Parts: sequence; structure tokens; C-alpha cells
Amino acid sequence: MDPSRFDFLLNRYLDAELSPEEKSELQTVLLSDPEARRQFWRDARLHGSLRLLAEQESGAHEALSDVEKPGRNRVGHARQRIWFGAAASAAAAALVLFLGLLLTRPLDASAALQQVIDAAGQEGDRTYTVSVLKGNPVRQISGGRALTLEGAVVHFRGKDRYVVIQNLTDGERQRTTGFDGEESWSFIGNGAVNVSDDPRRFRSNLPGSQHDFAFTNLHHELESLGEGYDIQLRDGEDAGMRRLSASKKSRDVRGPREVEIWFDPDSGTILKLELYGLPQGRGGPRAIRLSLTDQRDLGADFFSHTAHHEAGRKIRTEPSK
Amino acid sequence: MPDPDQIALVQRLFVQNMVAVRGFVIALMPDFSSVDDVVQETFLTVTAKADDFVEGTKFRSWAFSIARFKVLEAARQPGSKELLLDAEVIEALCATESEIEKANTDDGLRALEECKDGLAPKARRVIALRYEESHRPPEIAERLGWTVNAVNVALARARKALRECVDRKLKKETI
Repeated sequence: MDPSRFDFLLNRYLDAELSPEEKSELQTVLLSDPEARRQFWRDARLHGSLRLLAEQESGAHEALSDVEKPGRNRVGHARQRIWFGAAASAAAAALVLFLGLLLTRPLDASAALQQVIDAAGQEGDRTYTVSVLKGNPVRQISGGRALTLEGAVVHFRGKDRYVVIQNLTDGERQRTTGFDGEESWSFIGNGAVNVSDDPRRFRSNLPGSQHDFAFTNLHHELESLGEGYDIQLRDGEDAGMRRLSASKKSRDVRGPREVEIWFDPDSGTILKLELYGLPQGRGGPRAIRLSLTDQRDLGADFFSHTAHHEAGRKIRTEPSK
Repeated sequence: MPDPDQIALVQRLFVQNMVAVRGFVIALMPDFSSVDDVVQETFLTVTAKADDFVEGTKFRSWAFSIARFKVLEAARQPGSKELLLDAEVIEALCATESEIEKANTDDGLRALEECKDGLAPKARRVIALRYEESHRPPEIAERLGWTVNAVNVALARARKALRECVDRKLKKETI
């Protein structure tokens, strides 16, 4: 076979784009030509390495290091524990994305929800602390490090600006991610700052198995979520609070299974938000709570990455679309 | 039930070889969608068959053979057939032992990371969309406003450039 044709087919295979005819053509060569098989492994190994590097960033596969801990029934609990990293990642993304929903949700909601949405879209800063109500809060990342969702802090301004700060379990470093209205960014500890003009760039850091909550078209997903929930208005347990309960109309709807929102009936400000049945593959955080802890002005530059690291930090800017 | 010490041994070895096993599975399941499941099943089978492993023998080869069976099982599932190679082709590829043994290594990944940083901005973006965000060429084309063919060409060129760069770096290290 012409080498360029073989290269073409191999690349089509790596991108899962082979037509039945192309697949047959490629397979015939692979079965008959040892050199083709050698080239297959050469290219497929690179393909695997590129994916592994991406996963190390998301921390999914290294969750397995947890099995090294002694004195546990590893076999029995493996399914529940093994992929909690991916699920924790999903929970973190869910947190940002769901608040994103509340901040920008379109008009087809109840009046109370609309009040909450309007309040959330205002420019004032809001700071929330995260608690994990159910599931494992820890996410393993590369180099034997781990992030915890428990105690993470989320800052919001207006409809789309956010900063999420999570602690590493080494007790020293943090992972900081945000969007300043123009650029999204992310860095760990003293590491380089990754910057992108794609607002979704660091929100969609989800393994393939988590695609139920990996929004690729935010407006479309917001609309479908808005249509997909039954919403009820209730009294809050505490005086001065009201509560909105939202539950999915069907399993086909993306997003958390249930959402509880406690809000100030005068201002519409969200005081507490609980997400249940978070999208995930297997195990991991299934429910989290965000509690409002502060509404102080965070300063003009707070949502820019420069406010979170010293001058001179290495910046890796991704190219524009 | 396997001996607890033997379970601990194979699980430790599995973790040590995790990158290689996962890279092996991704090579045979290039669309990423079922890789988690297959690696998980491999881990569970390695654990369940811990007593079959003889300390001192090649753990990686043993884990690869289990992973290969798991890939073949997945290939029989409806919907997977189109994306994965046929069983006889997978068997033929896995018989190329010398190539399989050149598994993904930490050195290789480090070199690749450096090479990625050296890519042209557009190539880096297209690689990020494919590997970090799991998009396939039509979705990447939509995101970037390119044609699908342009994405295919960009991906192929970027991979070629990366392969050559990694080869150069690893060769230099061994000299």
C-alpha cells in the first residue's frame, strides 16, 4: 500500500473516523504487513501518550493510586473508589456550570427563580464555600498529589465571572481556576498559568465518561436544563429564607438530579445551594452544598489570574480560535 | 479468594504500570469512550486472578494480556464494532510483542509534554481539542470554524511533528 494512504487510514483510525470500507482496507494491511503493524504501534502509542498527558491534567486515571493504601477491602470497594477522581472533577465542573446556569438561565422559569436569577446576574461579588454531602471529595492528580473539593471556595461576579480555589491535600498548594469575562485560566501552586480565550476551556475538564455534564454549547444546554426541571417554591426552614426545589423531569435531562436553593426573599440572593445526584461515572461526590460566606467587594482585578500569583509567573496562552 | 499479600502485590504493580496499561488500551480503543471501563475491568480481573501471577515474571505482559481480553470483550458490544478493529486484527497486533513492550514511559511522556509546548499555536489548539476535550474532527471543525478536512490534516501533521520531536529527544537522552 502507498505509505501516504496507510498514514491517512491510520490517522482516520486514531480519530475514530474510519468508514467501513476504510476500516476493511486498513485491517487488510495490518494483517498482512509486519511493518504496518510496527507503524500502527508507533502512532497508536503517541495517540495514547497524548491522551495520557491530558488525563494527567484532569487527574482521572491516577485515582488508582488510592489502591495502594493498606488495610482495606480493595476488591469489594474498587468499583466505588477507583474513579472518584473523575467524579470529583465532574462535581467541581458541575458546581461552576450549575451556578453558571442560575446566573444566566433564560426567562421560562417561575417568578421566584427569575428573582434568584436576576440577583445572581448582578455585578456584586458573592463567595461560597463548598461542602461535600455525599461521596468522596478527593481528586487525585499527577505526581501523587490530590485535590479536595471539601472546603473549596467559589467566587462569583455578574453572570459569568468566577474563581474556584481548591486545596491540594498536601496542605500547602492550591489549584486556582477562573474566568475574568475575557479569558479563562488555571494553575496549580507555583506552576505555569494556562490561559485561554475560550470561557469553557477549563470548565470542560471532564473525562470522556463524564460527557453527560460536559457542555459544549452552553446556551443550548442551559435551555434544555431550564425546560427539564420541575420547580417548586417552599418556605425555608429558617426565618427570612425561601426555598426553591428543582427536580429533573426525566433521566434524559442533563445536570444534577435535584437542586435545592435557599434564597433571601427580599434580594433574591442565593444563601445556600445543594446539588444532588451530580452527573458522574462511578462513585465520587454525589451531592454538594454551597453556602454563602461573603458578599464583600473583591476588587476590580480579582477575577483576573494576575490577582492570584506573583508578577513574572510563566503564562501559557492558548491560541485564539 | 486470592491471598491478601498477593492482591497487594498485583495492585501495587498495576499502579506502577498504570500508564503503560492505559496507553495500551487507548491504542486499541482510540475514541476514548470505553477506556475507563476497560482499564477498570482489567484492574478487577488482575486483582481477582492475583494468585495466577508469579512474582519475578513480567507483570506488564500479564496485565496487557488481560487488558487485551477486555478490549476484545468490549469490541463485541453493539455499537463498538464500528469503532474498534476486528478481533483477529487486534490479536495480530498484540502478537507484535517487541512493539508492545515499548510501552508509554514517563520519559516519553515528559518528552512529549515538552514537544507539545513547541508546537505552533494552531496545532497546539487542535491537539488540545482532540485529546483534552475529547472532540472528534467534525466537532473540532465546528469549534474552530475550519473544514473537517483541514482538521484532519492539522491533526495528522501535529502528530507527525510530535512523534519526530519525541524521537529526537529520547535519542539525545540515550546518547
